Amino acid sequence: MISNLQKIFKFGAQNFARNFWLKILTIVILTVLLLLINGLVIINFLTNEASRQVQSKVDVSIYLKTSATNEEAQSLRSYLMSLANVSNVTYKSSDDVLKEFKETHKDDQDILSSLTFLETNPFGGALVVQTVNVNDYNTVLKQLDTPIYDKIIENKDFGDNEKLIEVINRMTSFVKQFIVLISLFFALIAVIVIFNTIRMGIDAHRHEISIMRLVGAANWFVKGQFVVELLIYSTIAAIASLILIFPIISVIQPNVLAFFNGQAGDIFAYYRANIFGLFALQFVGIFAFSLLSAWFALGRYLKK
Amino acid sequence: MIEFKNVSKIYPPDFVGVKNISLRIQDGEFVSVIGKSGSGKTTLVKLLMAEEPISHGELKIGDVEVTKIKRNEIPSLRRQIGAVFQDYKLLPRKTIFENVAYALEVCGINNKRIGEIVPQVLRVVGLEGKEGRYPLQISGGEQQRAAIARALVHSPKLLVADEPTGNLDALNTQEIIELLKKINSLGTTVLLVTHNREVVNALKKRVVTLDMGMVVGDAEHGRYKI
Ligand SMILES: Nc1ncnc2c1ncn2[C@@H]1O[C@H](COP(=O)(O)OP(=O)(O)OP(=O)(O)O)[C@@H](O)[C@H]1O
Ligand SMILES: [Mg+2]
Repeated sequence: MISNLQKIFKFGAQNFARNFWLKILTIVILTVLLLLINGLVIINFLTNEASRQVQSKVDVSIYLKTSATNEEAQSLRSYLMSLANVSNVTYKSSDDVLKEFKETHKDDQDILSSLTFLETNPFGGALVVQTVNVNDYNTVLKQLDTPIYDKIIENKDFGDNEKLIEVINRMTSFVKQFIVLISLFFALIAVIVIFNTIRMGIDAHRHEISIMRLVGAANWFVKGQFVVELLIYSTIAAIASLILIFPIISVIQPNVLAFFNGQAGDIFAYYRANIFGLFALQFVGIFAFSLLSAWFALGRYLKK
Repeated sequence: MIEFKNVSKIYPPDFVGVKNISLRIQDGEFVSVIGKSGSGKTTLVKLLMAEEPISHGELKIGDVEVTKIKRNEIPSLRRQIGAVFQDYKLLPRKTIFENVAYALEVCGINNKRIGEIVPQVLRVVGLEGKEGRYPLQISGGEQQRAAIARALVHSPKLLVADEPTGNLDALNTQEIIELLKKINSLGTTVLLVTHNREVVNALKKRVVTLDMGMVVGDAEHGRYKI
């Protein structure tokens, strides 16, 4: 059994090496397909990253009345933190709020001078809430609509966030649909191209297959040699596409950064962090597809 | 024992390959098959190798019913037969050594044994020194001898040779026939398809004559007569 496996690997590697240029063509085709798929991976990563970054900027400020005590503020904060869909709550003291207010209105002399008329800080503290998901803000705000909290809450400032969230949601779902469609399209093309490439390769060997069979090779012995060849193809194509993707990324990354005003995700970091998963996925994908194609193509020559 | 019982082979749509063949060949016999071009000699070989399905009748090789053979049983039948094909059928991308070794590889023989046996057989057919070449890098006669070496290398119980000397000169032919006789004397059944009058007459063995797919002559110590 072991020695038969060795023979199959030997012959598979030999067949590969002795048809090198024909095989190179196949590998080039498989690699180009993988690069296209990588393009989709990158688009997907960039949209996820963009929407994550925009979402992380969304927050709601809950301004407390000046009469609210520190304990009341802390208990409201604990309550918000205990909600499952709240990811973070930061407390700003009334001094911080005042400072921020001055900062935002530093060019508006009227407002600043009117502040100096007041002897005390007109602001209460504030709680800045971030939720796990942008769609959770409304739910969280509704939960604060009770008489207990009305006593200490001056104002809930959601600002322009609502519009922003809507835009994000629409964008994300559009891009997602787009990616799914394109992926399906590419997958279809990939299946057709792989199927035909592998079949052509096998057709070129049909004479040899019939000889092997006449000399007494069992079907699994013949198939095994082709499986080994496909393993070699898939490994080389998956490695080649990962090697080639880095120069491509280095061209894309600055353009993407420029397009998103420097806020785009770091594609390099993403690839570096996921290199093994990405390699395994591409290798397994291309190997499984070509194996399936080879099985169909070989079947016709293994009957007699 | 090989037994053909009323065997016919009709190639689609209705080309007759062989018709109503009945033959018994005992273990250890040496049988020459002669006949005009198109008389069905190669078809007979193809049926023995289970290369073509049998249209009618029964064919038994030892205890294998070729007529009823399952697809996954065919390889083991072929491994018991050594076949020299009329068109050699050497693997173009394997060296002569690898081609001959292939008949052992499919049987799962280890590399050490292969390294011992193959050079011996190549020496016997006169191909030492050419083992590293590819089929297209040697002459037709040399390719034919490589095919013979491949058919012999695994010491088959039955050797089927379709025109194994068609491309050889008189001297080489004589050597190959002597080789077949020697193998036969060691117990291998030999079925020799040939056009060579001298060979058949010198052999003084059983001769089966085919014409238009049918057996028209079957004689012990037969002579070449068509
Ligand atoms: N694949 C095929 N399809 C249709 N007819 C075939 C096929 N192979 C052989 N035949 C026919 O079967 C008959 C016997 O052919 P076969 O090859 O057995 O002859 P042969 O005796 O070996 O001839 P030769 O001496 O020329 O090799 C011939 O009439 C031939 O035309
Ligand atoms: Mg013939």
